[in-house]
Amino acid sequence: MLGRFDYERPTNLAEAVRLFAETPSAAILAGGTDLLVELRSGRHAPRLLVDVKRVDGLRRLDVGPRGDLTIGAAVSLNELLEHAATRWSFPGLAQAAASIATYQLRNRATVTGNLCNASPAADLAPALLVLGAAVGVAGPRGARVIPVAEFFAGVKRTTLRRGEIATEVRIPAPEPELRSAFLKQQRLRGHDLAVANVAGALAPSTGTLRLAFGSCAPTPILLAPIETKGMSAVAVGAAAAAATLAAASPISDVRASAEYRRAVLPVLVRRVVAELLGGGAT
Amino acid sequence: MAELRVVGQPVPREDAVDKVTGAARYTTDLALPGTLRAAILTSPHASARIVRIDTSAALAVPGVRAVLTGADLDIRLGLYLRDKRILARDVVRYQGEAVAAVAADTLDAAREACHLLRVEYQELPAVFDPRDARKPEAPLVHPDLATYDHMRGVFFPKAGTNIAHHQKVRKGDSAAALAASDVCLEVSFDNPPVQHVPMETHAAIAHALPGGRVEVWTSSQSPYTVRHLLALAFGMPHAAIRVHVPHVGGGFGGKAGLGLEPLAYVLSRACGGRPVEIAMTREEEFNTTPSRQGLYSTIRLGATRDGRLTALEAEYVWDAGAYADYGVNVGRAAAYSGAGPYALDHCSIDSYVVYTNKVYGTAYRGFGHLEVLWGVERAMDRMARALGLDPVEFRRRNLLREGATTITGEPFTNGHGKPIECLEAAAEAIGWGRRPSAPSAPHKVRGKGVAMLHKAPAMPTYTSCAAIVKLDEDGAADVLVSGVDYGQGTYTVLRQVAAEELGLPIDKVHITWECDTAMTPYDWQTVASRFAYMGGNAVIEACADCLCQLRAVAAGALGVPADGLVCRDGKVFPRQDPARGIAYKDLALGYTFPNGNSIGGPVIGHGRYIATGLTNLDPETGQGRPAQFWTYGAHAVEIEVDTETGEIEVLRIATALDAGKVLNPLLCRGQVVGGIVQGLGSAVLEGFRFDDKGRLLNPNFVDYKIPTAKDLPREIVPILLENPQPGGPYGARGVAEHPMISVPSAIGNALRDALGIEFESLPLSSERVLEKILVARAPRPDTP
Repeated sequence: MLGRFDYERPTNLAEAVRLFAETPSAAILAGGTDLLVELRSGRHAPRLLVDVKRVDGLRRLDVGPRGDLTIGAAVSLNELLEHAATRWSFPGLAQAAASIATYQLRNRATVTGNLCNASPAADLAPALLVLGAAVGVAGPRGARVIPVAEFFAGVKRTTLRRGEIATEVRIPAPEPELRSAFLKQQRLRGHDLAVANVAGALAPSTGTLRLAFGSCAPTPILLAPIETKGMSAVAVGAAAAAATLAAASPISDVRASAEYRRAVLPVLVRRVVAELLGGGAT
Repeated sequence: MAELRVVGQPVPREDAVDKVTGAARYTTDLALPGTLRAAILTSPHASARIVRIDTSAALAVPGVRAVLTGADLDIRLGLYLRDKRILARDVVRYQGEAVAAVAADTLDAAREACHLLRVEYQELPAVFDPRDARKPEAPLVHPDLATYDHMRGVFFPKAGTNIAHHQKVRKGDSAAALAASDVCLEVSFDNPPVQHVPMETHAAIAHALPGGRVEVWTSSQSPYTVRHLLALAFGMPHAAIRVHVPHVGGGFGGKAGLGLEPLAYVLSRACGGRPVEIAMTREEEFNTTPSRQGLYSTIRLGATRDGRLTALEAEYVWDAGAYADYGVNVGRAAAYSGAGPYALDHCSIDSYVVYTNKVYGTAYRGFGHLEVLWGVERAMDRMARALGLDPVEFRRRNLLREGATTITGEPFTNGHGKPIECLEAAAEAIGWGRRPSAPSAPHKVRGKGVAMLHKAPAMPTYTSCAAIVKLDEDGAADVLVSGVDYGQGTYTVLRQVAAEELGLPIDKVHITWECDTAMTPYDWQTVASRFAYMGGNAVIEACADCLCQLRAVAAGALGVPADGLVCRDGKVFPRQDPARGIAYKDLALGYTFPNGNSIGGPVIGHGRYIATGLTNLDPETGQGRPAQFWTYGAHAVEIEVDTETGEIEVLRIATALDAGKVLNPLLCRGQVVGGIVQGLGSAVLEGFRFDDKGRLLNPNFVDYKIPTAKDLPREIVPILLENPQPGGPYGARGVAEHPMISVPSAIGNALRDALGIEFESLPLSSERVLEKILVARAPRPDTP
């Protein structure tokens, strides 16, 4: 039973914002793969669903002149994965998207929705954090841009203000030859939420490594940039693993214990570092 | 035996196209016009008194037609032990137990009404671990156990305790033999409860009819058992109950016996005879419908220095959950099989089925054998190592062979099949004896393991079934049975059997996919890997009856003696004169002479089969003949373990089964692959997790994982041996459950080989594996 609610499917953004802002207890429906689970369980009982899939402009998936990427809020994971420029420029993001759920669900689930759900285990979050991505927002008091690094306020909480709708994810133009990678520990090879996930991006020209991880703290976490020039992959991996563990505060749940998360998180970090910097994993 | 034309061929399953196109109809596709939908309210407590239930708000919901609680239903149900109510009455005994049910015009209305039921509970002491439940101070899950009806002489509930059944097996003098052994070891193991996870959840529709009759459509493995148990529960004549079973989306044992049918019936009665449909949500399938029991086992083995097993003692403590259901029979069957397929002169097994305040257990593919053999086959590896023997060689020396007797005293004969051949074939297929190939990364290690398996159908000594074969106007044949093909492929096999026996091509033999107790002939239940064996024999007899009728009519038509006639290629003809043949289509409804005179009549054959030579087991020693046949097999696996994350990957698994005769290699291999994957779930993924209040923590697919296509072993090698079974159709044995059994054991043994670490608990999750690796690597204080 999904409860009783009204349903609106606006076609322009201003109307969507108005409907969403003026109704207390409204929810945004994009892919619905998280929302419908919440509705069915009764944990969430909104009075209005605002379906944004038909809103003009939210299906855009554009590469800018310098290689920056804009992903509209109605773009599904499979649409992102079928987008050659994404796979080419941001392989870590593609790996993260491909690791989510099943093919059928990826036909529904959206990139933006994965962030807005604000799960600590959101697989796209670390992948977007290391790319310096931001979320474009429209609200009753106008538009603004929130860096993904400032988007998560806690478990299932974002820094979106009341009435604000996330309209797109923006990834800045990648640094030259940018390498990126994503790894996820799960209980089986088939679809599963992350026990831990780690993304990394390395700009070879500057040697700056960005790392982010998820499912091991109340929010996905971006580490301070790590300078790798003159360091071996093993040394970088060790330093990165230590920094990750220092930032992690995992809990035990039915999927894994905190101890297991603490054990595999540095393994994933070392493997991501090894993949980006070359050299064998420890 | 004449050369077989159809049996043994890889005939594709007949139901495949209907299923993939959505044409196949399942229970909830069959709702009659005007059918009401039902929902249940379940208990949030594992053990509580129901003080009162306020139904007034629920009854006021528009569209609600009936609200029932346990207070309305003074009926006890049970397969072997009548310990369960349709809805909890006075007390609840597990979290998830149905407390009340609502039937309404729509499912939404029924669910809303359930939300508005006000139940006042008074929590009672609970017990969750069956080892605790055996202690004298444990709270009693069923204080009135002494007053319950049960199948006497077979099951032995202990009044004043939580023991629903105690099965003993005694052979020789195990204590003396252990004392005299050169090497002894004792090891304990455990398995958690798990779910069957059928693709189609439990569902039933009941239509209460005037005159105390009822018609039921249900997702069940057992149309006749459903009818029989309904008749017993409600005191109705069998003929007043008609049970239909359409296509079923998987059962794995979880849809044997009785399920939602009584609840659907009482709701329909309460609604003045409107049909009522009830179907479980996935969460209810986990929380409310029965599971596979957990097991704690302790095994003691003795052996001589030269590698002969001297004795086995075992204590099996089953976590029955709140009701006995099939659990007591699992505890019984897994005891008489509880030493593995080994020749043992001295054996003592005590199998206790113990009530706890958790979701109750039932049959699940393997019927307790996967669980007990997890311990036995791990213990055998440890004994081999203690003796310095190769695990394959140690098993080879001790497996059952001609001249030995089983632990219940059954002589092992040439007709039992060849467990040793199974072991050798599986081991050979993974290159046993050669070191594992190099791991794929420096942090990975590889290992190999083997494990034996065996199982016989666990069924009453008088189990029987029947088949009807009727010929159509065009000379084709229709087979009618009441065993259910819920995915095993048996119906395709029975078509092959009928085609073979009748001398027809496979496409001229049909089978009726809906079982109907008013139309299709008796079958006990579709469980225990016995349907192809027993149903196959019944179909052979029914075909012989058809042929006899065909020959009699043809004899009259041709003016020759019937015993000189041959039936082949859809024709009856004199052996010496094939050209004088008469086509089946000209005999199927009777034969008409050129002048219009007619003889014979519609050809309808009837066949039956009843278990033969089985005995009840001696209550004190377990000695007797419990098995119509045994199927033996072995798995050999090579795995790779990631020592940094604990992940196991199965690189190759070879599974050898002595099938007696492979009736359909395509379907047989399908059973092997499916069984291995399901066994892999038990091995590395599955297990219920409860909190300290007995609440199930993983009742959904987010938190409870089963293997997916991505989790398949890299290579699966099915090996099907054909040492014939006397009495089996064409020499066949059942192989449906067997591929799943001992998959965890083989993987556990390979894990020991890879890591040098012993694992006693399932599942072998990445987390559990890594934990043991880290403990093993941690520096230890010096020991003197």
